[in-house]
Amino acid sequence: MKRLTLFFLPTLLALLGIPGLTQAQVMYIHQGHTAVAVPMAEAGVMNFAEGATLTVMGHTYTLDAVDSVRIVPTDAYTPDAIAIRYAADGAHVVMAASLVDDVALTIDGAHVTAIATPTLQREVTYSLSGTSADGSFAMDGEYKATVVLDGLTLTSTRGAAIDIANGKRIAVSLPDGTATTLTDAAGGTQKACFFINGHAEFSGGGSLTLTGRTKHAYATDEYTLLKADFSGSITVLAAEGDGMHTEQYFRMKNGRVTISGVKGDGIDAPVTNDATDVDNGCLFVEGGSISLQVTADDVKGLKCDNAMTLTGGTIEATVSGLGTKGISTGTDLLVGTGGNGPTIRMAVTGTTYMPGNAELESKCRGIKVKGQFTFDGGNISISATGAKSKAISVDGNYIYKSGSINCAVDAANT
Amino acid sequence: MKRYLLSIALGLAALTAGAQQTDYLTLRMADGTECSVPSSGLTLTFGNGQMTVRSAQGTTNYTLTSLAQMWFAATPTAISSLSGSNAGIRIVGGQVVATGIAPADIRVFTPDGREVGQSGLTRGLYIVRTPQQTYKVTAP
Repeated sequence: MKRLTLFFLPTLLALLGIPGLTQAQVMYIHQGHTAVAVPMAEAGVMNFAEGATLTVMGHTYTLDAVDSVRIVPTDAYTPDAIAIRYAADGAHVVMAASLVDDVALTIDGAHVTAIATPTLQREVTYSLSGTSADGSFAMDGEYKATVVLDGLTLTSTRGAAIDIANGKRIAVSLPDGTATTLTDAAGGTQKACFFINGHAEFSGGGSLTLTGRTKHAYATDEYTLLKADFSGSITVLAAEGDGMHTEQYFRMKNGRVTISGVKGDGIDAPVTNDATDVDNGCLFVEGGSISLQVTADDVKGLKCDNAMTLTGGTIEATVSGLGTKGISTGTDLLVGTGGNGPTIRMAVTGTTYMPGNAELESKCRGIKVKGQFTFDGGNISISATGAKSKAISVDGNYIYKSGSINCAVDAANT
Repeated sequence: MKRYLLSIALGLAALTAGAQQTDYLTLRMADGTECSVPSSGLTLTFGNGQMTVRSAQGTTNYTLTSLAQMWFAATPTAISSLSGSNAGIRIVGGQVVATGIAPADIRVFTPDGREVGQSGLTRGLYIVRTPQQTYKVTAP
């Protein structure tokens, strides 16, 4: 069997078109800043008509609008892919021929909009790269998609830097070794510098740095997941709102999140309007590391409307704003499971927000739990030195099973 | 060892097959004439009613209204126009007349690829294929 496999393996690999082993040569049809990539082997018979048009793979091009047709036999063709490169002279787009009738592109300088037709039921991969001081990317569609942030530096003066109205699963890839920096416009109406209407899943080893000059730095209207193969980083430098505002739930399996300079919460996972949404209003940390500087008044580092489950990773926070909380849960908090858990380190120096105000007074806490706090593994180290501050405050009961903790827990049963 | 070398050779053959099938760009004119040019590094531009083809072999212009189709192929087209030294094939009175070529070795096609007989040919363009070459011949 081994001999048979080895015998046919090179042929099989070639026939399967494994990248790097086969060449699907490319013909580019250039129109302004857009090029349609046509796989030469699939181009077939291309028909001229009346000296005015050329039809390639079922799409008719008006020759007056075609700048050139260029053949590059060394390039590889990737179906269902759109590559957008931002530059000083605007955005340059290469679109696979397989999408030319299914994705409408609008290019206004360095502001690019890609709208997929509702009938397109294939996953499109959008790769963004380059640099622009006045550009953006907006996308919509009715099928899941992938967005590759391939070393992109983008500042928008009109709204969000990236605005994805697609309400499906959006895979966000940060390729290893790349650094992407996004900044949005100030005084706008956008929800975030980087906004996704659907649910986002992050992978890759690259870095993403965000500044939200109107509201949140990052926001999704459904869950955000940092996958186990996400070894990269998300850094929020500043935000008028939250660092990361992820409706439904936030789940972190790996990677590094660093948040500072925000006027709202660090990571906020509020409930959606759909009561049937899974894990609605929950927050999960299973691995990776989170570093929070919570300096604004009456805000939270990690916040969720329902239960928070911390079973791995490292969470570090400096909590210095008035009435701030390092961690705040709407219901229960579970730290650790089966004797294993995260490392939580906090320095709480803030004091009371609006002291004496019956409605607004808020005291500073390392951890504030509105439900029950169960501790079953891990290491909690919190120093609370601000006046009237507490390390851990629990409205419900505190249940200790295992783990090490160096601070007092103020709970209903303690 | 022989089997492994054979499998590698087969794999390499499959690898190169995909590349070779697009080595040439063939243009077909409205009158049925075809010509081919190596596709590597080719650039086509359009303007003033012309298509300009730039390649390592040089630059050629074609009137856009004379162009019908183009496609990529592994080999260049064999169709060429009659030249003086190849005037041994002609159509006279609807009949193919060939000098030094047996009738059994001659096949006649219309420009759209239909094979027809060697007689009763009406006015128009035909493709006449012999074992050695293919000709474009006009019946008067």
